Formats: sequence, structure tokens, C-alpha cells
Amino acid sequence: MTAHDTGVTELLRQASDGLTPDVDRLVSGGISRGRSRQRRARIGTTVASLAVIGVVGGLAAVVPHLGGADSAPGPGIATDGATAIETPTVAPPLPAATERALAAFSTADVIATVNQIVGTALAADPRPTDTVVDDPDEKVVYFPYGGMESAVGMGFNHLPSVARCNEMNSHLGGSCTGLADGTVQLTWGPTLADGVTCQGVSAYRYGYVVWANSCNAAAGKDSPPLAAEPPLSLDELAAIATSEVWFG
Amino acid sequence: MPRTSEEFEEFAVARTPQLYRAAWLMCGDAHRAEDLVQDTLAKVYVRWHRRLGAPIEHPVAYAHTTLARTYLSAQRRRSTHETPIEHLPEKAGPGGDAATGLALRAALDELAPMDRAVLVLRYLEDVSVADTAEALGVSPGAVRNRTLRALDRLRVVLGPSLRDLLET
Repeated sequence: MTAHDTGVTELLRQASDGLTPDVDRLVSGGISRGRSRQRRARIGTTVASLAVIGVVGGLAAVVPHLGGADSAPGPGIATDGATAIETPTVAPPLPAATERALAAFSTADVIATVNQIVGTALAADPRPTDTVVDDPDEKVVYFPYGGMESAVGMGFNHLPSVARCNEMNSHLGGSCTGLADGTVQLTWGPTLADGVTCQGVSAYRYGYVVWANSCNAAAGKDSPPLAAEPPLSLDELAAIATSEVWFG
Repeated sequence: MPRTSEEFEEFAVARTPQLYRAAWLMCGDAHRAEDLVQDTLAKVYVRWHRRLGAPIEHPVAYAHTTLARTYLSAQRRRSTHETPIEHLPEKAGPGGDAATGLALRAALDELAPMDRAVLVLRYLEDVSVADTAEALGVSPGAVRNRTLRALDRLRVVLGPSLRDLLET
């Protein structure tokens, strides 16, 4: 830099010396705006995913009816020529007033809460190899339950309806039901994959999903089964996923 | 592996004074500078917590690039949507050297937003020509031209008082 350049640097510094920003307020404001951005981005992603699934589902239904030799139904298969193709609609996100914040839970709290809900002491602290996510907007804790892999997770997720839930999960298996309080509950399994049997329940409400899974082996993949079925029953998993305790 | 929220907060607390200083020099207005800093922190926060992709390699440089781009983007919006009727009198701003602050603000007001951003990145943040060009999405030649033009403009506006200001 030339002498003049150095002078400009000095001038800029002098001119802005003595600024006393309220750092705490700016940082908390920045974090708050960041979380809102994240939330909006996730809504966008969810809505886009649902729209794509709807369009793909719609296309899958339409394509066989487009005619041509390849799409003609085989002999003996009854078809309904009047099948209506439902235009995929995407429900708007829930209004903010219906959203509730997730309670502030540490990993240890999650384990203790599972034991409390199920009424046992079989849930143990995560092993070093278990996945743990502890973010303000998302928590995931994999842990051994009776020595077998189980998991609880919760995060931001707007699922508008039972129909959408079924649409989204039709290729994965599982069934969706609407509970009296407006919760959309997805129940899946038991399924056998990679030599391990797993099952789970997800509950969508307040703009979040809380899910709980359980497998009959120490790890979810390529691990010898330790029991005939997962240690947490579907009823117990449903009790965990639908518990109000996660919302404080 | 995404960085944690605690790490972000530590980073934000440490960098906010410098971000605010740059924002104030770009905006010349305390309220807009605060808004700019918070928008910048919000964008860095989202990128910081992104699960996919590599973590931010140089968070400080990333934050200052984000600040400059956010400032320029806001300036473009303002120029198409807002018609200022009058300038509200702004306090001297920095308490330390009011005369320097006011004189420089008047001089910076004469510059185009891109030129202000170039000056702040080049001289306050000591960013190279190449990195400034990359941050602002222009060529290195454009950065050099804008720098010269901005310095010439400062010389004209501040005139002989530039030397005095530097000696105070």
C-alpha cells in the first residue's frame, strides 16, 4: 500500500473508532433472524417435496392412461375408465399461532423421558458410535434400549394432512391416521432389513414431527438379532412420539 | 460436521464490533448498520448450521463478504423502491472522533455504494484486490478502477482537510 493508501486505512479506522454497538442485542437479533430464515427454508423444502411427490404421483397415475401399446392394460385386469386424477394441492403452513416450541431437552433428558413414558429403566445413554444431534431446531438421539438400537428425534416439519402422509409414505410402507387432537400419526413396521427388524411411529403436530424407532439388534444394520422383535412395542413408540412432554 | 450453535455465538460476539464498524462506514447510518449486521449474522447462521456441504472454511472472510453483498443488494432495492425526501440528521456516530466521523461520512456519501464497499473491504478489512473482486462479483480491474475513483473523490471532497484529519 502507498502512504496515501495507509492514510485512508487510518482515516477509516479513526472515523469508526469509538463505535459502541450493543453486541449482545445484535447477536441475539442475528440468531433470531437466522432461525426464521432456516424455518422458512425448511417450510419451502417441505412444501416443494410435497409438491414433487404430488406431481410424481399424479404423473404415475396419468401415464398408464396416456395410450400407446406399452400403456395398454393387460387382459383380465379390470380398470376404471372414470378414475379421477386429483390435482395435487399443497396446504399452506400452519399459522404461527398454532406452532409450539420444542422444550429444551438435553440428551440425558431424552433418555430419562423415554424411561419415564415407558415406565422402565431400559433406555441407556448413547454409545460413542450413536448419532446425537442437539440443535435448537432439531434433536436426534440414538441410544440402546435393553441393549438394542432405538432412537427418538424431533424437528421442524409441517405435514398438512393424513392424505399427504399416506402419499409420502406409500412407497416406504406404513399407515397414517389422524388423531382426535389433530396429530397425524405414521406407524410403520415391523420391517426386516439388513437382517434387523425395526418399527417406528412418527407424530406430526404443532409444525413439528416427533419420531421414535426401535430395532431388535444392537445396531440397525448387519447386526445379529438379540430378540424376536424390537424391545419397544408400537404402542410404546406411539406413547413416546405423541407425548406432550416434548413441548414442555 | 456442522459447527455448533455455541461456536457460532462465540464467533458472532467476537466479530460483531468489526462487522458493525464496516457496516457503519458503508451505510453511514447507525440504524441501517445495525440492520445490516443482523441480516449478515442471520445469513452466516444459516450457512453455519447447514448439514450438507463443507463447513465455512474462512468464517471471518465469509461474514465480511456476506456483509458487503447484503449491503449492495439492499442498496439496489432502496434505489428502486425508495425516494429519500431528506436526510435525517445523524449524530456524529462514533463518540471518539466526531469531526473525523462527520467529515468522512460526508465524503463517503458522495460515493456510489459499490465504491464504498470496495473502500471498506480494501482499506478497513485489508482484503486483496482479487478477493474483493470475488466478494463483490466484479473483475479485479473494476476493483482497481473503483478504488482509484473513490480515492480521487475522497481527495476532492475532503481536500486539504484530509491531512488535518489524519493528524488529529
